[in-house]
Amino acid sequence: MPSDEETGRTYTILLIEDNPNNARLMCRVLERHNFTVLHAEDGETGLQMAFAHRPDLILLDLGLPDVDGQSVAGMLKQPDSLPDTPLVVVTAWPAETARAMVEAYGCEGYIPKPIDTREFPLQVAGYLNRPKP
Amino acid sequence: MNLVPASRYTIQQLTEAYNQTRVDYLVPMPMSAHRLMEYIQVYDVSLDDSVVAEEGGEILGLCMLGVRGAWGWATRLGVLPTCRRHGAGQALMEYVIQRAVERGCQVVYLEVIVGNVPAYRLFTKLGFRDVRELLVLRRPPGLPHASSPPPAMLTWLDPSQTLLRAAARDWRPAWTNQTESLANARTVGALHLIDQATQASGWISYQTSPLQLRRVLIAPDPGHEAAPAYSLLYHLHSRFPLLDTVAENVPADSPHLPDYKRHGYVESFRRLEMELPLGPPP
Repeated sequence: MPSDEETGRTYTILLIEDNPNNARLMCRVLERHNFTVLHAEDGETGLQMAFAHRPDLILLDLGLPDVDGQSVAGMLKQPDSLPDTPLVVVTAWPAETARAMVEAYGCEGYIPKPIDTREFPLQVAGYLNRPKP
Repeated sequence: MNLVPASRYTIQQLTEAYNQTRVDYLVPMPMSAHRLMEYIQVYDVSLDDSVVAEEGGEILGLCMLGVRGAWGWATRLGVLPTCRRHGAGQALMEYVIQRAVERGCQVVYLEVIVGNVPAYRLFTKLGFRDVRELLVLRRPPGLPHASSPPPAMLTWLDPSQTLLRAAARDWRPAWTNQTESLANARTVGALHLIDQATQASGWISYQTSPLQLRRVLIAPDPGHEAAPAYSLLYHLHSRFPLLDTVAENVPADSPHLPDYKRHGYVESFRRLEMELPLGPPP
């Protein structure tokens, strides 16, 4: 579900991922499904791009150099930040740890790495189409 | 494969090599060159005693050694995924152990992430033995949700006062939380607190950065078994509600763990601290 069916608007995804191979793969898969993808390779740039572009959804790696994923999530989920933008962790961390972090930091969910290239766009679309609480 | 002192490489080269060795790691913790430089300085890593494994100009792996008097600390061991199981990790470790002996260390410590079975097997084979488990805890930003603590006398400590408290600890913290680490980090402060009803007393260290509260560790005053951890955490997070918090290498048997959890800390991962006694220097 890459675009809003009523308005035809294309969804913009911000991917915050430091590993160039992972980033390339995720960008390619999403762009093939007509998502517009912005990519930041570190947490600080990711925060700047999030505030500047206000994407429809943010995909966040936890293991980032300097400002790590948890600190990015903590910042984005502040009440005066972007608390309503779906924030989805993409991580190779063990499922139990990933779930604990997602819950603690108020993220919408997580997608395990390595991604399943067929499932990935559907998973992303699923988070976009979730009704707001 | 050649073993070369790490000091012959630039920080940028070491950073790139380190990150490449960790791409498939259980808990990938990539670093920027700036962060690796800070790590080297804060944890007394000696690049002359640290080592890089290279072949044909390509870095295959590396291992670093921190030295503080009679104590050594092996850290950042990593081998490229494609070069593992050929003895590089063992050769790197044996190199830094030998350097620790030559530097007069009587013991070498290290930490391995629980669940990293190949690394644990290697360290055991080299003679390292288990010491204790250490937890890495995280807490998202926010004011304390828990109820107000009992009345207490609070004193916010500057870096020099904090170091005095740290040096008076009668237990051995992990390398990253030792007094030298706090001194090298320079901007570490603390809150000291005495519970007015129970007279329990202790302190909590911290270092602020734009987004993070780091080096958060609770210690009782000498002669006390436990600090008033609930109150310390309450006041710390009341003062810094906007910062994400990292409490790194909290001993798993710490009496303060329930209070960390009451204040919203969650376990990120755990490490096993190991030691290799080297005996007295010759």
